[in-house]
Amino acid sequence: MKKTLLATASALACVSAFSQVTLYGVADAGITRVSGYAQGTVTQLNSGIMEGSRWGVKGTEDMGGGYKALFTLESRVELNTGGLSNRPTSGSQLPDRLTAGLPGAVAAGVRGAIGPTLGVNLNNAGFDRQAWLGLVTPVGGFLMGRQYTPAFEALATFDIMATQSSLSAAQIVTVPAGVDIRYNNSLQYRIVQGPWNAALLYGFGEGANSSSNRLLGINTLYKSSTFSAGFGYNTKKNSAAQQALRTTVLGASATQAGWTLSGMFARIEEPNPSSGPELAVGLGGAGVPAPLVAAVLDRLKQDANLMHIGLRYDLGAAGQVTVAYNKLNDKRASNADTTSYGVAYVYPLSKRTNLNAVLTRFSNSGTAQAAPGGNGYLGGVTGVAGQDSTSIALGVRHTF
Amino acid sequence: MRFLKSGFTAVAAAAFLVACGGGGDTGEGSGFDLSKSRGSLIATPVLLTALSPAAFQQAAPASLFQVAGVPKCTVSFNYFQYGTVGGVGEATTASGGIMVPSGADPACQGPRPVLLYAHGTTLDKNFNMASPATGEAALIAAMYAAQGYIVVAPNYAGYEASTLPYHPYLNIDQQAKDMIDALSAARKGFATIGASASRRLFVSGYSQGGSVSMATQRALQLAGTPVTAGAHLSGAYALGTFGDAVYAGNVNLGATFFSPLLNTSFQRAYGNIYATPSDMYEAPYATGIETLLPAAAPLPSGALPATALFAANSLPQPAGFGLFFGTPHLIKTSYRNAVLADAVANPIAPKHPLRVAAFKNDLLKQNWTPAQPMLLCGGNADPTVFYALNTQGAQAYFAGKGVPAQAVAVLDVDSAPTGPTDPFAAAKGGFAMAKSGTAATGGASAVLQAYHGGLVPPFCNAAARGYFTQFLMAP
Repeated sequence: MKKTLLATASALACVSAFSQVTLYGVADAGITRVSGYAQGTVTQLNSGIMEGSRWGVKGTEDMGGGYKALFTLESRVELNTGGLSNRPTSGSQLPDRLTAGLPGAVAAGVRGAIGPTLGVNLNNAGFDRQAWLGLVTPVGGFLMGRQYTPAFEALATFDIMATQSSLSAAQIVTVPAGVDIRYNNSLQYRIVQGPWNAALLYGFGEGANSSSNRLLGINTLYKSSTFSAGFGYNTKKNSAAQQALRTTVLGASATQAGWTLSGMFARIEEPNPSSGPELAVGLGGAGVPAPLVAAVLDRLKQDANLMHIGLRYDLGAAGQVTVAYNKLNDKRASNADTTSYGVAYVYPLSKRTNLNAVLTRFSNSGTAQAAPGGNGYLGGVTGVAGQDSTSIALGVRHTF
Repeated sequence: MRFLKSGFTAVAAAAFLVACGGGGDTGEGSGFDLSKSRGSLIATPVLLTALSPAAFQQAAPASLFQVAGVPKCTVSFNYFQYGTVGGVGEATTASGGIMVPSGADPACQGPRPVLLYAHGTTLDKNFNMASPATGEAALIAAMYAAQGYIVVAPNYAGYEASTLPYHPYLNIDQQAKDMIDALSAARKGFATIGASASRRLFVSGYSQGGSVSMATQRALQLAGTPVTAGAHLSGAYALGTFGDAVYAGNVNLGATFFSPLLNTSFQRAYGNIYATPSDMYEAPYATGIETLLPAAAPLPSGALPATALFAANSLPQPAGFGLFFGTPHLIKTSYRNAVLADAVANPIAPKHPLRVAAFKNDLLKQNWTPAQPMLLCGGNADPTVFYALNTQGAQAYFAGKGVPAQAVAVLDVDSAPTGPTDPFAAAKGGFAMAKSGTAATGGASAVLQAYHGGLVPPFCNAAARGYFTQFLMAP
């Protein structure tokens, strides 16, 4: 039931203005059983398996003449705790490749500096998921605030799972992150022309100099009922204005007679760690000599290709079955390659409530250590490098 | 429909075009081998610091270079971890240092000889031969790396970042494997840290390390990959004989610290040294003693008796060893008596588990004949590792095996030069000066305290380097 609040528009100055505010959200929870952790197989109740549980308010005001104002405030909510944030099942454990072979005290310093930062919304932002105000004009829309990035939007479009569940391609690139999902202080320009849309986003770094922490993103997507294709690109600088995470996404999908096939390729490059300058200060302050700090930072760099292919069959009233295959090829000497594959089934109880079951296998080779998570939380890392994991999730999702 | 088909085709092509690839990339960044297999290099070695000759001279005392010589090469101090085994063959990891010389001096150019160095006993679990802040590492860097040697110096299993919860102290089988595994792993990383090795391999070590380096020379000989030469300095080669002497009351300085390290190592390896630590140790010390050493933090005072190994009334007490009998003491008299009884009843073929273990790790009871030359160096008044039993004992043992005298050079730094052609005249002269200097400021007791750990090491190391020089020139 949509709780639509009709504003008393007539009382306001604009003659033709029609304004509405909508309360909306997703409640998604279930039981997951994931093997391969340091503590073994973990069975738990999780929130946000298919989609992160959330509530939000959004509003639009149509001002006529092609002008509209709109806003979205979307808060994360963890159904299992009622909180705003979550941490991976593996806690502060880091992939072995970040600390292996380092002097004991340095490894401990790296664990102490990075381990506690693993998680989702650990600063407990009230509207961590989205918070923005937009103005739509005849020449395009301008959005300001915390928003999804263009490369992430492309990734979510061509991931057959649309980032849902452990079967999503995004789940094998979480530690360290292969894409910036959202960005603060962002100004976005969007245009929509029939099936085409395009976005240009500039995230103000607001750092020491004009390019510190800035993110630039662009995408263009063609979406029709039968075929989609497009690309997305993010490039970010860290606080020292060094080139940091850069993600390029190319993808396409096609739908025919109930079948949808989707393919995606993403290039992930991080020639300087996104949090490198802060980590360097922390390690240096702890007495770690400069050459060792460089060796630590080197381990956080990324140079990898992500490949995804997925196939869905729509059974109508009986739901949807999806299979997907994802492969991360780490091109660095660390050779942390992860392959994931599995099957997801969604059965609709009603238009807004469904049951879902997902079985995913993570196969880690080399120093890879990825563990399956969910849309709203990180899986973290398996017990040791190269350890595989199987995730079974049974859940309920209700949208309102 | 044409459009739809081409759409499917495009998606499939996009996906499969990129499906190839993967597998064993050898791109940039650190490589890893987390298998813990013997000799595996866990990660690409990391540079801790590099010291130019000038910087090294500024950072270390001038006296160091008076003995070692003016540094010729810049020394890069690299840290590495490797896979090895513990006392019962259990897979584990350990760490160490690789010192790499570089610079314009011809001594620093081209393929360099490799020294595999075994450090002496330390109670500090965080001891790290990769850091020039470690005194022994600075000494070896000055002596060898700054003069053109690549030095591989493991910290041993049970130290620093090793995952082994104890140290297999003087377990000669394990310690030789540890050294060989460190060398294998280090060689895997040489190319990444600018180390170009010649085919010359030397092995040396001091004190515990002297025993370990001799054990390593033997193990490499048995493995068919012999060293060029060895230099074993102030080592406890005759562990069985030495142990019998200690239990007979000729206790060595430091025994209250060496004893728990050795007993724990043997207990871990053989499981029969005692049923419970209180069978061997007096009550104040028995609890927790198996994990006391090596220690991550300085030992609290009284954690072990300073010198009293045996009870004040325990017999026999040879003259001059009264320091080692007192209250409170470490080893129960009942345990000592059982060891003594076995030494009397079975002097050659021990039955007591502690003596069996010591004999098993006695390098002079292994029926081996060195095939490569070695130097044995020490000081005849060493109160910590007795010279007569160990160094002269080894000399006699190898002579008995038919090893020609010129293949086993023996140096007592605490002796007068034999004449103008004595190749070790400088080491002897230097030691005499250092000893008299210590005596002048601190008297005889200061000499005793400094003898093993301070006075002998620089001069035996300098003599070892001089000894190795003859093997650098041969084809």
